[in-house]
Amino acid sequence: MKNNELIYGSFFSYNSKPKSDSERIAKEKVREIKFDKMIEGKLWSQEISLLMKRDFEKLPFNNFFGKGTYLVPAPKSSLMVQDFLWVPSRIALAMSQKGFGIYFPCLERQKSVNKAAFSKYEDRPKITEHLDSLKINSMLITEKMERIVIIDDVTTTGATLLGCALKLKEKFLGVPIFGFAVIRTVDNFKNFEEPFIGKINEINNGRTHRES
Amino acid sequence: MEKGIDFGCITPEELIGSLNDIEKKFAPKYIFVNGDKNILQENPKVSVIGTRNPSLQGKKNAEMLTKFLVKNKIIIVSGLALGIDTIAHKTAIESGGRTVAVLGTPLDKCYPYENRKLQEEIMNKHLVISQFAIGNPVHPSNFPIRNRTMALISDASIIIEAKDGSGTYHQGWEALRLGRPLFIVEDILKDKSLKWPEKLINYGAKILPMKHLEIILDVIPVSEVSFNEK
Repeated sequence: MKNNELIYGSFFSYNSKPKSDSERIAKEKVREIKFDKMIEGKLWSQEISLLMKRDFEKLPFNNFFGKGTYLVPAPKSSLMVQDFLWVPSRIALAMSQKGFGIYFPCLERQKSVNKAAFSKYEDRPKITEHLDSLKINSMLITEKMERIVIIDDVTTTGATLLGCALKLKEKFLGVPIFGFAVIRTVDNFKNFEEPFIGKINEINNGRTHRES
Repeated sequence: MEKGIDFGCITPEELIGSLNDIEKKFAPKYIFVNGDKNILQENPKVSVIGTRNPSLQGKKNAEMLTKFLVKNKIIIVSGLALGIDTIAHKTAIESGGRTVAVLGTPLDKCYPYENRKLQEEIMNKHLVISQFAIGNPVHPSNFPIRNRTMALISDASIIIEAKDGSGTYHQGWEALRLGRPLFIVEDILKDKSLKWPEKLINYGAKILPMKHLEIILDVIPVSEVSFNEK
């Protein structure tokens, strides 16, 4: 990443204010993914890793993954204890089991921040709030770290992914860092399954701009 | 309770669909049901819960919130206790909605006794469920266990009013553990002596302003069926 700019990939898209039936169906799938519900006998986290494995060659961000990739789940916006549902962690673990990289849950939230999806624009956490609220736990690095991919379930503003990336950059100097959100919000919905690669930038007031 | 009532016994999966490992952790093995069990598969479900001794404002909020949810085709889940639970069930029925009572007793018992007629009405026209088999003794510990089951079957939980140490807190904690939305009515924050709201907010509970109840609709499943259309 360069100058507070993060390259990120995303597999699904949805409109959080659905108007058409296809948008409503997409939103319902997003809700199921956010709770890691079962789909045809599998968890959604497992289904996502299988779909991405199936389409791997066509993914515009497939260079993020492979040998030497460390998959870091993004912490929730709130504090959590061990047996809480932590969907990004479950997705990262499922992806690791399918060979996308090494599961590396080193980031932790020390204090809660407002959840962007629930907040008005002015109340959404700024990058500095993310940085102040995160800490990196020491973990054993078992093979050469070629790159880090931060894994999140849904990206709205992109601030969580960018905040996590800047935090990791402090410790893992010189290691390329990317973001991956299974789902991204879009204004112009076309299809639920719509792989995408784009940038998240910090803009002048501590907010973010995310290409979608 | 009436003699001869037929109590069905089903698994949680049969009632609400497949469960993930987090959901299975505290899910009961069996659930005893009396009433229309299809209620739980039709529409979004929201728990409306709180103290047995609500303030006047708490009562108003419970009524207003329940009416809003019913208007939006949401099924009201509560625990048939006195206070907020009773208001939630009664308002749902009076507003033409549907309601589910989750008991801390077996289905053939009623606690509190004052709600026996309400329990019968919900059994006849809505749904009453319990994870406690007929003949099992009723312990105080049944009620927080029941609260976990309420969190499990609900798409979201809303705390109207509660004291520190209340059973409502157990449901709030379980909703957060399951990753389900938990709302705390904003008026609760006016009582600065309470310790539980800040803790639940730090762990992910959202503040619910009574003027913006529509934020609930953003986080629950999309409902296609109106009660009025049936």
